[in-house]
Amino acid sequence: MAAVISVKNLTYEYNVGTPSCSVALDNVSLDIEKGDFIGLIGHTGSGKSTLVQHLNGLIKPTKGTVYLNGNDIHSDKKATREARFKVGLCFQYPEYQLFEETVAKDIAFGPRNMKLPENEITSRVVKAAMYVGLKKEHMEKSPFDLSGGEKRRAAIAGVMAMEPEVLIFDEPTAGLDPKGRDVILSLVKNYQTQTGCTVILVSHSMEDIARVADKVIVMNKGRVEMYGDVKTVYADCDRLSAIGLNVPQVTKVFSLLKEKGLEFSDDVYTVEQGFNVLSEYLKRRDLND
Amino acid sequence: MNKDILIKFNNVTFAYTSYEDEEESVNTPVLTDFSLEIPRGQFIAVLGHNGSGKSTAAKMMNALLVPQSGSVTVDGIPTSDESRIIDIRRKVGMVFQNPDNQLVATIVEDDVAFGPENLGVPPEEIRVRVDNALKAVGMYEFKDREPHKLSGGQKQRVAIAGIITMQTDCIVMDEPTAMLDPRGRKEVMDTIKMLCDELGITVVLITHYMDEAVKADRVVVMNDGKICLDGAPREVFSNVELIKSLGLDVPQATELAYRLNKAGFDIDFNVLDEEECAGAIFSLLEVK
Amino acid sequence: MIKDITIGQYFLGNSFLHRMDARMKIILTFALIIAIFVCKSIPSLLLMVAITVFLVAVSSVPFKMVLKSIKPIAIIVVFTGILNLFYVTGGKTLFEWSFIHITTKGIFTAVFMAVRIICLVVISSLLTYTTTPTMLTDAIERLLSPLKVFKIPVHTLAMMMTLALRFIPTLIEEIDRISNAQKARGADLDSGGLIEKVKALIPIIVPLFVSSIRRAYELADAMDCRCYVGGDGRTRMKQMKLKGSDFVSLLVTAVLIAGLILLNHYFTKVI
Repeated sequence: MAAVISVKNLTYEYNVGTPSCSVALDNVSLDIEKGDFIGLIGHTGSGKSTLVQHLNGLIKPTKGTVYLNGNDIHSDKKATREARFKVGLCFQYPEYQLFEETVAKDIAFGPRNMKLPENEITSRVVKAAMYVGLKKEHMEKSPFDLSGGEKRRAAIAGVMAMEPEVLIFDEPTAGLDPKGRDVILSLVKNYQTQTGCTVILVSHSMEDIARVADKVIVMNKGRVEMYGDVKTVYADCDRLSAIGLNVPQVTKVFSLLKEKGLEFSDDVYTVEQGFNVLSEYLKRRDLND
Repeated sequence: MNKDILIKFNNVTFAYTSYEDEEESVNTPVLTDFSLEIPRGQFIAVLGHNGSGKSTAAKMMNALLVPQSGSVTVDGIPTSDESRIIDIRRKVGMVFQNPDNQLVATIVEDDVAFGPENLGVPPEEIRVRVDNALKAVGMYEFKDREPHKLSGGQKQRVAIAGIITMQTDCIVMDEPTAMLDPRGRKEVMDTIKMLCDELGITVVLITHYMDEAVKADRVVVMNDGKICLDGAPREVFSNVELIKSLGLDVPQATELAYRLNKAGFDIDFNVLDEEECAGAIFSLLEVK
Repeated sequence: MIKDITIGQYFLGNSFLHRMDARMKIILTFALIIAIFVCKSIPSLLLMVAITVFLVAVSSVPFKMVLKSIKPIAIIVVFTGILNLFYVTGGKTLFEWSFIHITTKGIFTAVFMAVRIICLVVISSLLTYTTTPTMLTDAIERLLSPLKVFKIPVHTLAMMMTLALRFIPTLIEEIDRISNAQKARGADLDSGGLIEKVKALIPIIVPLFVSSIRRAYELADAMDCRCYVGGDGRTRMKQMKLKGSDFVSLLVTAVLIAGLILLNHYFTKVI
């Protein structure tokens, strides 16, 4: 499959030439394949936020290159601008970027910057609002009159309306209650299945990533520690705990069972999977008796 | 049995009024006939989805808000008595969600000293309290730092130290971990445990995280301005269906055991953590 | 990274200047700054330079940082120097060409002004290098406290100053975050004419304004919770006590300034 984004030997240093100089990314190379849903995990300071800001050209690498569809995004100004639009980045707490008089105008901000024709802008705004479940009556309201969850969805729609090839969400569920978390995760998932675009979800929660992503990138100390299928990466529970990530509780239950000599498959990280594995095992055992 | 009640809500009602236009006003009820007693020394977690009224209830515990009807008393003092507002806030301190918006000084130790300075505590004593509080939350070596250079978890610990120095009986925390990463959350949770276990402070923790709530002595679940469930974590979380229907989560371990039980397997779903759950599954498998 | 912003320009140290009472430091700094402009003879200026060099030497602030504070005013120094050189007349004329007259007085004035400005900047930046912003606002509050008699809300003003200092880095971080978010939506902040540039700031200013108001409310609640009711009845953890050494500094400074005045009086004024 074709890589939509390809990162080669990317290094980024803060405050070059001062005593507080530190390496945020250390010789990172990776390919992101078209249509993948990738979870990006790692604790604060692991370099994950710095990495995603390189992908749309917000940060210029100290060393190394970022290719978008084979083109160096820093080769010239035009290429950088194109990367801005083709790689959408939705920051943490995106509701704090709302500024327009109405929700519709705010969602239209990105498409308008792309200098699209007016009718195209309108149709994109409608489509994006649909993806995030905002209703018609919301669209003419001031974004500041929406509820917390609605604000967040409006802000997400603002990035979706640019219809990027790659859409990056930096902790889209931060600070939400469990229901709010579910709503955002499922709308991101639906968007990905319906548009087939590439999605990168940055999160602290291995559970959330397990629920929606196909692949995982684990970052640690500015390097890519692991990159692969959710199943393969999560199987290495010990390594994930060692770098300070919170392994899902269900996975811990199964590793405790393993210690007691009961071995099940290694890929249990949601309640659903755990339930299926156990109930099938029990049913089979009962049949055998 | 005469339990020492620190904070008492008596049939409290509260509504926000918003004005759509000049004539019409909309009343949004937040708390309706809300009653709750918080005994001294308890660690109580309050759960509820956004808009369930838990932040409003929290703000009533130290008179940032006062009830429109009914009453709230702190150690017997009604919060509606404006002349005693300082007495109330000396007893009940508060830590908020956003760590940036509650630190007032440009140096950590000056911030921690802010409360006792306002209370007119003698300088030598403030020094002792500040040093002790910073040591208690493990931030002593950061005392000369600037708050904006700390991590989120560290900032919250400084904020907690700033309340400890006021020697309040109770600390109310309104989603103190919501904006933190897992490491920061753990730091803050460890600090909260220390407050209860070592300093004997009453803690009211408002949270969205079930793994934090299970650590409390008591869990109160709120919905639509009312108390829906109230009891020990074990009792409360065994109401898996109800909690889920309120838009909340139960710990994964509880949910797994519950679903197995529902599917007809003989398993006790009164479990809270991974060890209990693994134990329950183990005994289920060992039966035969 | 943004996190590395230091409020004010305090340089951590434990020199005799760091330990001096902040109120005394402010007063002596002002006294020395006034003294700078008294210097009109060569010996008095030399003494002033010597005082400045001495203060830098005992401050334990690296010479590099002192140079850094002079850098932004280098242009002003050179510019005023050139102006004085060309336009001040008097004394012996050394060079004359069309409208340009270079005179001895011109040269002296140019040199004197340059040296004075440098001394002024170095001495005042030593004050901020060796005093934390908290100490500085505290000291200002205490020095101005007699003004309370005239109903000037000294404490409130000092509190506002402290809060401003506390929130400047937070707001800079926020501006950075918002402008990145808008850039990610294709906002173009760099190109275009003046009007476009101002327009392009709206997507940053509006969210900044909204979030600042929210912060202000939350901060007010937090301050209420910590029993803040204004300046009355407040105590301070960090007491300001004038020590013996502070009076010695006062005495020494007074003697030096008297010396400056004498040197000025008995030697020829060159400007």
